[in-house]
Amino acid sequence: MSLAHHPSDELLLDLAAGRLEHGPALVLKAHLGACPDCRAEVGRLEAVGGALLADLPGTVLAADALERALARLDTPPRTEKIRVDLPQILAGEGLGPRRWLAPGLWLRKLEREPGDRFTSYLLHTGPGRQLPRHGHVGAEYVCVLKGAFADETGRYGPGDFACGDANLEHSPRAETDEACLCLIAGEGPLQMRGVIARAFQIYAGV
Amino acid sequence: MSAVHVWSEIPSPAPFRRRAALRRETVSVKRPAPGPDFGALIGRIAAGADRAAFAELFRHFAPRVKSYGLKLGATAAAAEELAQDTLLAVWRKAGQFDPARASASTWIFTIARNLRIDALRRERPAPAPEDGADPSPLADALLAGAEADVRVRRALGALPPEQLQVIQLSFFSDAPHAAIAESLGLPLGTVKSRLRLAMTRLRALLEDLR
Repeated sequence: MSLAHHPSDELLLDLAAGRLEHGPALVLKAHLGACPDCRAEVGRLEAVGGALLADLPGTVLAADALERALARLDTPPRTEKIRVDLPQILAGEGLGPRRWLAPGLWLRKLEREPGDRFTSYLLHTGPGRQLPRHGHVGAEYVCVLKGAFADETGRYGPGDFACGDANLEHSPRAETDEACLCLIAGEGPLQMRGVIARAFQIYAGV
Repeated sequence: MSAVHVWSEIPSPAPFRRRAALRRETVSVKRPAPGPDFGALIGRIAAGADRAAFAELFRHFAPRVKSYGLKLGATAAAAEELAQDTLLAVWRKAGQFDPARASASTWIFTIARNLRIDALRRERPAPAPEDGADPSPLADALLAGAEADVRVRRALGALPPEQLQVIQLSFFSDAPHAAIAESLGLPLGTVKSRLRLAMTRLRALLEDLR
């Protein structure tokens, strides 16, 4: 069944041609994820872009261009940015309100499925921020969606999976260049160390 | 085999900010795809890191990607880098190229487009720390292979020149549609209706390739 509401032809063209600003492009891509018709239209327009590119008269390159390109082939790529497809993973999940815990630090709980013993939430930690030291009563599963954090057990970047249990007591810190967003499923409440941390935990509800 | 003169009617590019002049050029869109099978060259890179195949792709596409960058207002140096980076990405991502999903030129277009967007984001005062464009097309391209390229070219060639012109300007100018209209000496509504007509026409001509 097709959707009732679609972006205009002009917006689809702007997306295919790379003319949209970042925000609008994101929203359109979210729509494309759900709409085969608009995906098809953008696919056609990208093919138009390909044909137009193929038919462009070339511009003379620097004399050593090919030589330089060949020399670059063997240099290892900079660490490739690994992306986690957030909308796809969270599609259909009920997300609670954003709850601010401290500057740069917030979480959003996912609606819990009946019978799920885990509390699941998105945790956002601002660049360089550190979580209070805490332990766990049960299992904790973490996938980094964006940014990176490090704790006593190592460094975790986008897509990395971390697993904790009752033996893990840690104080993870987000790396300084970017906020860290994680999807976490934790069994039982965190065991905060210290009065302030405990108050924080009661408020956060995780 | 006729050529369509697309840029020739465009008056001086006064209102365009930070972009190259729209030069007088002739772009043929009816020419059938001659020469090598570029998809097969990408396949050879994926299968065996074939440097000769890369060199052939580079000679064909890098000068075109440079033109693409220049048209969108890049400096000569930045356009040269875009060409370098695009072909390097072709080398590195060749294994992800799926000839059933997109033709070589469509795939390379999406890489160049995404790299250019990333470069623009990095230029901003508060840079987004993106590291390399996602090379994938946004959509499951419906049209695959050299045969589809021929179909797309034929469809473009069937457009009235004034419709083809606004489609080309949409891809090869970063001016808002209003500035494009102004540079063409047309009301914005006329440009938009030409775009809509062109897209309706293309849809009708290419829908069966789905």
